[in-house]
Amino acid sequence: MDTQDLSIAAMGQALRAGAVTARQLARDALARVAARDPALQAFLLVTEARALADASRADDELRAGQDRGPMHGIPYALKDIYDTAGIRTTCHSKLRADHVPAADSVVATKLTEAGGVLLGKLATHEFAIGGPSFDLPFPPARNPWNLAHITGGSSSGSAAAIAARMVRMAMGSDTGGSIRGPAAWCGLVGIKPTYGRVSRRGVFPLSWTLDHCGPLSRCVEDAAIALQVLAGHDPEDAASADVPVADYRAGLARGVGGLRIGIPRGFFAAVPTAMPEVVAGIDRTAALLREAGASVEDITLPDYALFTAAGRVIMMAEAFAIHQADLQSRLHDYGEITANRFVLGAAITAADYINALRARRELTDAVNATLGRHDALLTASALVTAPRFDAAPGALSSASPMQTIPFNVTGHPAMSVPIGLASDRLPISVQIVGRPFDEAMLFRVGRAIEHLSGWDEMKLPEFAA
Amino acid sequence: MPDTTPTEALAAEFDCLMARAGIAVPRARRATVLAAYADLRQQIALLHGRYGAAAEPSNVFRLSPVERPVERRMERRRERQGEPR
Repeated sequence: MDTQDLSIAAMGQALRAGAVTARQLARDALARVAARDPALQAFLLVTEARALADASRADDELRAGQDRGPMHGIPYALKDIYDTAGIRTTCHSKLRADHVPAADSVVATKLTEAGGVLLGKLATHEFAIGGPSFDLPFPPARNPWNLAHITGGSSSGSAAAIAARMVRMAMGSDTGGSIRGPAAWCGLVGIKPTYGRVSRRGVFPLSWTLDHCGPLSRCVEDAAIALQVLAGHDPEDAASADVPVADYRAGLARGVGGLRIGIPRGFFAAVPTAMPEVVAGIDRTAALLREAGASVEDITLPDYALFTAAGRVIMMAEAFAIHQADLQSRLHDYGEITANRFVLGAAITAADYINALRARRELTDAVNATLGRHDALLTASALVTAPRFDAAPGALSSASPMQTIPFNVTGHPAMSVPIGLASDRLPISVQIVGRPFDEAMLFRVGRAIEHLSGWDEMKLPEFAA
Repeated sequence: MPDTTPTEALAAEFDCLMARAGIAVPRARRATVLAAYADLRQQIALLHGRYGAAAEPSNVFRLSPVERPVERRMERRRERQGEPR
């Protein structure tokens, strides 16, 4: 049985029918990693022995009648900022090149308890911000759709590993778009859940009040299965919310009939650098949703520049507080891009930071008010397709092609869903935004878009090393 | 992208801020970081002068969301131990 294109649900059915074993799934995935990763550089560490042990345990348990649920026996991988007990966790940085945590992150624990099979640790931009870089201990991951192009970041290895069909699901983190951006540029689904929905404990922080943990995956159903395992209250994470978790797969087939969807056209339509194909893709998606019975209308949100200003100030200030001592004493141990970005935090005053937090309140209230009238919003994930390595931006700037940071500022759940290929044969995507803790609506709308756009029939690149 | 050419005054301000923070930006990188600083200052300007004294930041907090989970955990513990509420 060829297992590389089986969804998580299909793998689960095959496991329970006895058509495949978890050990075979793990061996197949490890073989794909061995064949493809030398050119892609998605993995910083392959945990082969751990994967086979996890898989053997999963098989033994299923034979004994113990079923841990939909992730039982399913291979996955973790961005290398998630702590893993006894397994090196580097943040893709010289500063933590030999760091071996004593305990698992909450996410790693949950995936283990759900029966998942850990394949390894994945490339990231250094400390989830600095990349793509060639001056770090490990090379940057490459985009399987075209190796001359970047994956986007910072969950770069997570996106490359899934798009190259090494694994169906991998964990990312998202502070300004680091799940949704790589998902958009690699033709994947990436969900940033509501702030507080998934525990951040044991994940190296970039910016405490903007950081979100979530999965990247091949399809919406895979994402729903993964988030079902990950979501829930963690009393030891100060930001974790004690809010009930819905059944994320229950509404996947309901369609969008009767839903009200708003498009904040001012965010993206008039941006001079936006690719016309991206804007046309959003318009085409809106038309498909209308044909499927949704009410879709343009809406107005506050000026996009205000969202990005608040997000950048908050991120730079909080990141600087985390890295200040190392920036003072060992600046040269950071990659150049990382250092250039982090040092700007020193220039932010207390008044700048507090004004950004005042803006956050204003902007969150505005998005909440809009979502009081609409079930979801539809907007851009990225304004362009993945750039080549030699055209990748070095500095963070107000002109970022990513349109993701507004919902890190406000904490609303947001998901990137691919809708097709541009003329350069690279993926384009849309972003769906929902009410706080209503990830189920994102999955419902996302599944409809995946189907209506025809993406669920899209063949991934036949990647050969 | 707006014009973010740093002025001499902005460059002097940048050097002062880095020195105050104890950050030694290598000479070869200064122009890149300074240009990013100029861009950041333009973004920061959007946030200034916008709010009156009554506009509070998002981290002004209330204690009730903190209290509720604590109460729930205590209730669950009492239920596990078979104690009356």
